[in-house]
Parts: sequence; C-alpha cells; structure tokens
Amino acid sequence: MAVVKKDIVVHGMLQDELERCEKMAASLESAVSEMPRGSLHQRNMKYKEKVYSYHHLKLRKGSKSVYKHVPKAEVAALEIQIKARQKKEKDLKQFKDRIKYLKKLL
Amino acid sequence: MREFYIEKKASLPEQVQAILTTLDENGFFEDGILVGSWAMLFYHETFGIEYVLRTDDIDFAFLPEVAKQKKGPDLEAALAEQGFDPIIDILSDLQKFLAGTFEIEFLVHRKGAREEIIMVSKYNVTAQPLPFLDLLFIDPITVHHPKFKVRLPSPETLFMHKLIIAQRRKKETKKEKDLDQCTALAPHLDLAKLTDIAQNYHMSKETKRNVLTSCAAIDFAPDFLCLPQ
Repeated sequence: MAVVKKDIVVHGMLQDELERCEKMAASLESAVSEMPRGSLHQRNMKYKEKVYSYHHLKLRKGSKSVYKHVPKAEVAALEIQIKARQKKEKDLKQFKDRIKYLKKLL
Repeated sequence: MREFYIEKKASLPEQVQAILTTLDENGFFEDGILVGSWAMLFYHETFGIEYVLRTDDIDFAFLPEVAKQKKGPDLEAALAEQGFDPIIDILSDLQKFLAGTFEIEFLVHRKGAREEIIMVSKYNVTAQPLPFLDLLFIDPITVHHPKFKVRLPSPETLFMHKLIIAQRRKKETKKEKDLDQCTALAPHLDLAKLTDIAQNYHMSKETKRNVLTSCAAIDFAPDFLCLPQ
C-alpha cells in the first residue's frame, strides 16, 4: 500500500489510529484479565419429587473444563460482571480486527 | 455567540450522535466544547470547510474553572447507561469511554507544568490537562442538530490553537496533521476576529514564534498578529 505512505498526513492519521487501537486493546486486555472468567450456568436437579436449581461457573483450566458452584447470593453480581466482561471482549475483538487491517495498510 | 442550524446528515455516525445527545442532555455543553478533528465535521456543515481525516477518538474540553465546581450531573453514569463503557487507559490512568471503536476522552486547560489527571467532580469524570485549551473557549459557536446541540470552538480559535500546538508536537505526523487542518481552515477565517483573538490572548515570545513558524509552513501571512515591524 505504497500510495498511503506517499501522503504524510494520511499516513500519519492511520499511524495515529493504529497506536490508539493498540493502546485501547492493551487497556481492554488489562480490564478483562481482572474480571471473572467463564460462563454462568443453571442446573436443575430432581430430588424426591421436587426440582432444585443451582448455578455453577464453567471455565477452562488448560485443556480441562472446571465447574465451580456459585452460591445463590452471588449469582446476580456475578452475572453482571460476566456480561460486562463479554462486552469488553467484544470491544477488544473490534479493536484487534482494526489493528490487523491497519497493519496491512501501513 | 454564533448559532447555526444543520439538517440530520448521514455523515455523522449513529454512535457519535448518541454521544453528543447524552452530553447535551446532561448539560455538558454549558461548561464544555467538542474539540479536535470532529469539530471539523461540523465546520463542513456550517462553513463549508472540507476536512475529512479523523480517527475514532472524540475529545471534549472543559472550561478551566469547572474542575473546582460542586457536584452536578453524573456524566460517567449517564454515558455508562447509554452503553459507553468506562475504561482506564493503562498508560495514562485516564478514564475513557468506549462506544464500539469510538473513544471519548475529556480534557481540561492546563496552567503551568502539572500534568496529573484531574478529577472533574462536577461531572464525575477525569480529564487530561493540556495547555492552550483556554484559547478554544473564546467566542465558541453553537450548532443545533435535530437531536442535540453542540458547542465547539470558532474556526478562528481552532486555527490559532493548531498554529501554536503544531510546533510543540513531538511527532512529525501530528504536526503535519495540525498544519493540514490550518490549511483547510485558512480560506474561511474572519480575519478581523483572528486579529482580535491574537491581540487579546496572552502569548509568550516563544508562543508567538511558534505561530510565525506555523504560518510560514502553510504560507499564511501573519499580519493578524500585528507584530512590530
């Protein structure tokens, strides 16, 4: 893409955008690393004609799937945090895609 | 204050419209202005100034005295409610807001050399102090869009601001971009206004030198400075 390099202003603007995206991706990665991993699941169990439900967190540890019981009192807060993490991961993906695109251009 | 009315335009992305609407609804533009390349987009609609290059970061500046004022609207909560996630920049510790790949950042005028991030309690957001932002608050303009109203610097103050900061940039590409914007603004300026700003805004000898250097770079006669011959 030598055409872009010929124009210092256009090239500079794209370079600025690349740096901004890289900085923001690093900030998002740091934020995501401090948020709870995994996904929240609900399981129903039948015991003596009654159905009991409980929540667990499913996450990966290396090649294994690990399940962690989540007390009822913590479910709502954890659900909010997981949704917030998933939103940040979605944003991170958009930035990573743009970084890839800009690197091709530059 | 000059006021302009524009039609709903496709050139303004939905997310940017949502950001400006949220800020307007929370009274931000009573104390702040839209700065940076995004102001140029409104100049296109109001003055016919053509400039299309911009990144996805949108900067807003607070009036210098706002940092000391008592609590008002919670801008952080209002932006988060609209889906603009707060995120801390790991390099600067500055709080920013994300809307897709759009990034919102707040700035405030810096007096002296202190560079620490400032908490603007009135709006519950943090702002990065930068020099010469007070210049942009001289005679700002207001643009009325069907969904919101936005306050931004006049083309004359933005031109002067860019002339000054271009020579202070560490990166050559940023300097070139500032000068490129000056070149786009130059034919549309009210020269009497520009002279008035230059005469009333306090500039050190070094700052005046920077203005002269930038004027030479874009081939713009620096008569507005009214310097002694």
